[in-house]
Amino acid sequence: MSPLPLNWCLKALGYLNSRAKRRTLLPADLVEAALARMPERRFTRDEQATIVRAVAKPTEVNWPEYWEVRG
Amino acid sequence: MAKQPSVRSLKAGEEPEFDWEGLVLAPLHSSNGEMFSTADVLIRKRYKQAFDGDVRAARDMIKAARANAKARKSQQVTYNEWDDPLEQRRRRAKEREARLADPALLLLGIAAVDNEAFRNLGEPGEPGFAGRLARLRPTHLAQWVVDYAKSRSGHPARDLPYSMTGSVLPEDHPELSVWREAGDWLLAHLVRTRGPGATRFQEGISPNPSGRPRGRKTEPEDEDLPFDRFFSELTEIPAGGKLITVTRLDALIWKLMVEAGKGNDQLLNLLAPRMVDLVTLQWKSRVPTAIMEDYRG
Repeated sequence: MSPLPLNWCLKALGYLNSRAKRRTLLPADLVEAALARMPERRFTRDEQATIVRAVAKPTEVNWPEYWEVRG
Repeated sequence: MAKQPSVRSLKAGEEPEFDWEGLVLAPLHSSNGEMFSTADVLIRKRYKQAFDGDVRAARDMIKAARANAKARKSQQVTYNEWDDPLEQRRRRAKEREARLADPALLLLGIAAVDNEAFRNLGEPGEPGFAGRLARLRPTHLAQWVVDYAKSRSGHPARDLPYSMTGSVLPEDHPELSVWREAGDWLLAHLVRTRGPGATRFQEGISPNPSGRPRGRKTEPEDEDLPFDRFFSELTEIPAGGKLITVTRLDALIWKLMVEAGKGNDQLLNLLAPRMVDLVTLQWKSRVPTAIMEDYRG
């Protein structure tokens, strides 16, 4: 079975609003869960900026202590 | 001396007096000082003759109107949205925006790229690598994302529909082996080329090197058409006991039809085979709606 666009899956799982059309903006709790799965990984400043840009409400995320880019 | 009205506001058939002795000198002046070319004067004279019922002049004017319509059609540019450079730019921007979160999904381990897509990417330095990297989308969602969605407090998700189950793979799946081995290399490329730094303003580099794109032109300008300015001048004709304002072309066609209807057999013979053309010309003459309503009323 060929994979479908991932946005459809994220909508079906309730991470994205079903009306979201263009930009994918991730919910804060999903980002926290993803960061909690890789505690030893240190993201560079550019990587942090890339992640922050894809978060719907970056100020609501409990970022790790070393995190510099807060949105 | 009473001031003469402008030629543009004359009643149809009432043409200005011209200084015919100065005909060889261009530009010509009418007696109230407006400038005209020789051709402009001659077509006004011929129009007056046609309006007065001269069949040969009427034939000439119909020829001129048809030549004008033909020139308009040949110069008309059909607008194709798909080929419009501005639309192309908007479409590309929209696609870019849709791909904006992809590097973040890969960085956070929410999504992954399967072996086939990874191998199709090729090596850096190969022709087309940059384009393929710019268009690369994550192919599969990680299994933990589905599990986490079901355990979320507040609004737990239901099972994914069957059509979407193919888009989810566990992280240790053999389909993702290349991603597990060389994922860091790809992520470094993605962050550099598609992260926020890639589109940041750089000093000394123009963000818009070729300048504003040229506007599009779909309608020919009046100056490009041989008789358009003359035929679209507004004139007054008596109709139904009052004066109505119409274009010269409409006035002529209306007058010729009335004359033919009254019993001018020569005019009738001229108009009858061209009736469809005449109605089409009148329809294409772009008369403002308010005037047309007046004309119909």
